[in-house]
Amino acid sequence: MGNLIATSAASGLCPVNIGNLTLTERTPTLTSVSPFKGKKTAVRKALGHWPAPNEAKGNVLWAGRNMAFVVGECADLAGLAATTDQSDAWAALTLEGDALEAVMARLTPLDMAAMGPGATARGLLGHMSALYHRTKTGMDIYVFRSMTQTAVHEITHAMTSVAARAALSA
Amino acid sequence: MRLDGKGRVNRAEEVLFQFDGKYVRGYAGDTVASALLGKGERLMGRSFKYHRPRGPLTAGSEEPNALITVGSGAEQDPNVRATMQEIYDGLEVFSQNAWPSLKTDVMGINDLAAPFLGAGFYYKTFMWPKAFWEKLYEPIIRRAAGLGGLSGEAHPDDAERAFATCDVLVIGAGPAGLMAALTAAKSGASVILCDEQTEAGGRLLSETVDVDGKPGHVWAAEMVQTLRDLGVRIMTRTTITGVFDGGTYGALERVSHHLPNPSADLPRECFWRIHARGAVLAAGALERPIAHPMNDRPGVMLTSAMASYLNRWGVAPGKRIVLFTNNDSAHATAKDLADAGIDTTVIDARSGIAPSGDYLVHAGAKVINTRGHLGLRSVKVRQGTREWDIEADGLGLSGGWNPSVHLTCHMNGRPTWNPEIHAFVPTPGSVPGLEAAGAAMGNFSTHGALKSGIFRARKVLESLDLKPASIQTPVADDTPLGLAPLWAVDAPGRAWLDFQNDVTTKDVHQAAKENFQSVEHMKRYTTQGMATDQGKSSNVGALAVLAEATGRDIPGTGTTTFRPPYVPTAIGTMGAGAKGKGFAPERFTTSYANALQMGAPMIEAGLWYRPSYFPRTGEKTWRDACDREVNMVRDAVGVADVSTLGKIDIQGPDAAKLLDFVYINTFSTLKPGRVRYGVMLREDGFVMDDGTTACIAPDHYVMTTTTAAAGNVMKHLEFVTQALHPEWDVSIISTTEAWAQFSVAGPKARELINSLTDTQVDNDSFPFMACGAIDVLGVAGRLFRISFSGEHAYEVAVPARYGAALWRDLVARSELLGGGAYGMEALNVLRIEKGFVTHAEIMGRVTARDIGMGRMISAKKDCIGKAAASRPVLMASREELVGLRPVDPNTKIDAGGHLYNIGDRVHRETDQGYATSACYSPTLNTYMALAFVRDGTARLGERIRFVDRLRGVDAEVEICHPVFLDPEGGRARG
Repeated sequence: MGNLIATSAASGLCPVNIGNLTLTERTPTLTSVSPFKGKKTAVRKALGHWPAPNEAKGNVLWAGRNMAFVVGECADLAGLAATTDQSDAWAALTLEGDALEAVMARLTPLDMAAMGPGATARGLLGHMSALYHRTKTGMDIYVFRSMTQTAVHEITHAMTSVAARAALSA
Repeated sequence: MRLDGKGRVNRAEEVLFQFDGKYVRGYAGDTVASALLGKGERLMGRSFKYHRPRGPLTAGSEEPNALITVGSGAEQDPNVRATMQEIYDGLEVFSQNAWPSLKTDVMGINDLAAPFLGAGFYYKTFMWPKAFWEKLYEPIIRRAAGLGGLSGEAHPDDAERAFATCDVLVIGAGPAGLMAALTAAKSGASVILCDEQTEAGGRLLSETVDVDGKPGHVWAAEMVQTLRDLGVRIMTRTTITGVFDGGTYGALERVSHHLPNPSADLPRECFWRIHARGAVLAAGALERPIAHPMNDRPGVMLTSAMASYLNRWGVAPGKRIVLFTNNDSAHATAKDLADAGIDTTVIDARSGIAPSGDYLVHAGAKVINTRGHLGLRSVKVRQGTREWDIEADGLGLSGGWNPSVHLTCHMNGRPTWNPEIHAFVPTPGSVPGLEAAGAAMGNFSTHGALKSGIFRARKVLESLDLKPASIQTPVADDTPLGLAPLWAVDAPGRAWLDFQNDVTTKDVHQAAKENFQSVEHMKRYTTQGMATDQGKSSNVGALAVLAEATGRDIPGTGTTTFRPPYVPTAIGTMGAGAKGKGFAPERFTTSYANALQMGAPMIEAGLWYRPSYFPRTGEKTWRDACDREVNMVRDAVGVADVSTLGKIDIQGPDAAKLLDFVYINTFSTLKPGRVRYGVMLREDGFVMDDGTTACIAPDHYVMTTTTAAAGNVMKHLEFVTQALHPEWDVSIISTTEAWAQFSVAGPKARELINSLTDTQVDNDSFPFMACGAIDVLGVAGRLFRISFSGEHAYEVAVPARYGAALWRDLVARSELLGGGAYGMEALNVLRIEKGFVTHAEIMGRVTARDIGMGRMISAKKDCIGKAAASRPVLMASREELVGLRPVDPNTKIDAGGHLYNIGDRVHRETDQGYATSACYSPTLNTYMALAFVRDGTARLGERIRFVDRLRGVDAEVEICHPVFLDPEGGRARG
């Protein structure tokens, strides 16, 4: 039997390089984990971490009420948590560059000063909802797959504008 | 005229711009107003109503007179203040409200008719005949009066939206603002300092005052550096436009208005939403004029504006200048002017005042008239009984200072009258977390402002639980204003209060006389305080005159309401980011690109874009394609992308309880590998949504919602699990986007499915309403045997990354089987033929009983909406779902048509119902519709009159069962 060719959410849209800002796509395995009642400790043990709201621990990202996303391989949590494969549901984008916070200020009302490395937040990206994860090198942005084109458009627009401003003072 | 050695413009850098098509030379750092004044041009505009020649009154954003249009064509910006527009090479600006030219404006004839054009003139004059108002009077008046115009084209420049957060927002970078920012920053707060000017310093840039022994502007520049080093974010050219709930401030940043050939990537303006835990309002004070006869000629300006033009831009506001004042601040300017070698005379309304420099003072005197048509030539002065003329080309007015209380009133606050300084000041607590400081709080001396900036910042910091750092107040002058109130000079002639709207003291008296005595009524009757300047220079003066005319005091008269925005703000800027693709996200399925390649026109379903139909060569209309696609599904096999339907993954020991609770029918009996159709109600008993839910494994279900209600159902389930049954152990998450799902429908559907997979399905292993895992060309997928067309059908789902590939494969295979892709039009026809409902039917006003599913409500369990659905009113005679067939099958009937009993008058009282969906059925060769008809299920076979007034249809139709095709359902099961 034949095979189906996979296409990523931002296929043909990324990478975007403007000034020293870059927007790239990643295609990690993404698993949602929602522990059953009384099983949170066991889930923490199995995953090695369980993040508090608005934080990421290891590869486990807080993603909502009693909900975390595991980026990459996820331990077997049968009987401990409801898990779903979310890899295809989200476009995973990474924004990096010196003016990262200036770009973010044009995309979301979230306070970047309160989002140091290791922070996660559910917030807006223009009119869309997004899951943000601040890493040591940049910002991982997760948006609904169907809205990838709009998201890349919005982010690129902000990157362009920030770069144009930077050129003013340069 | 330029003065050597004065001002902060760069004399080494000449700038050439055009005013009304004529080239004007200025210097880098000039505004349009300062550059024109530098060339001796005082005339910059015509007034709104009388078309009187006007020059700039101010040097800031409060300017009422010198309004210009910048640029032309689609890019033109009207009503820009010449006092704010910075010049650059190639800038083109135009005067407004004058024809044929600024100097010879024919509408200046209005001024001669001024005695007849006072307050209320239009309301009284153009009453009759009534029909003339809209067609004749209003267009003429509108043409005669007015400000700048819009181009009528979309502005090509983009505006930007941005957000910022800080502990302390300091509004205004004058002496008070700088000290407030310093205090906050040194105390460890994150600080944003905004100022609408091009550089920080406020009045220190315009006056010759020393701070800590240094010239004020030098001290300010050093302080700016200190603040930058402390990490303060300084935003110049940024005006705070409004104060909103929760410490949110709107700010307008002028990004590229001052640049020649700005990059196309650069926004014109940026609209900031700044969230601040606390704020210090240090927006200073605005000088107010004195209303005396003929106080509006070009050359007349506020004394503070003269100080700005002299000290900041190095421009002499005239060769011979008269200042008319009632306070000491004008004397500082008089000294500056005299020091610059300008012949200066001060007319001081107070008695016993001596000069503080090399200028002449006439104390106890008033200006009672002026001369000069296109520019001031002389000033008439009265001192006691003596009257004489002084030759002058500049007249500075100083009637005192009004603290900028505006922002403190944006959350319904009202300012408080301070009788000591004869001005309104902010009422403490008007805006939570905001303290007013410096001149904005009525501390007019430099020392007072510096000290107040520190003090108010400390108060804000304390409220934020931050320990204020100890800051020393710099040494500066602390002279009080010494003001004796003078609002209007009692002398014959028109004395302007509101320069922008041509409102004189006489108009205010007239309003009072006609009983428009409330300040809000006076405003609307006279138009005082309206338009772009919102009465910044005139409000307090006008209400003082009103107070006098009505025998009240000023606080008893009160102020009008200050509303955002503080300065004129383009709507496009406030809505920045929502233009073009920013208006709404676009949601695309994995088959979107291919559907476009196939020439499918797209229709929007919520945010989704879905193919309407897939045209083939030779097909002339959408109907041709649609009919073919319907026949294809009925006779062979069709494929359609149904990924937009909501998919909610439900897991947990209490998952079945949740389903039983939200659906009217029972799901706890559903076995793994099986699918069931369900209907859910709102709490009020009306239908919310319908769809299928599949049992994937024990305690694991996948719920399908309609495309339109996917978000609502998710929200509903969140509410149920968080608020109604938080004790249930159940977890829900959307997987809509994770799966690409395609409908494969038609007699050859199974043949197609079996060509994709090693797991061969047949009627026994995979009967109607079965579901299960399946490998699809090597990919782990899901298969559901469900049908929205009434045919033998499947929905096959694969992870979305394989969606594009599987779609192309399905289309190719279906075409080989004599079928192909079908779009929304065909999908709609297929479901209407089968009487399946969509949100056209379950539009929020129907019950399960109305759509023939009343008996689905399980008697064995409770569910949301069950009690409300059994209310007597919902169980009584109602409109029920039926089908309609026109007696003549070729009569086109559409959704929206209403139904009446034959013989009845067509009237709302005789209305029997309405059609919700309609189509032409190529299967049954007739038009048909789904409709709600009063007691419809009992009237099958009856003929009724169908009236669609919008489309001019009036026809007889037959009420029939809503399932037109295969009522036994044999095709789907086969």
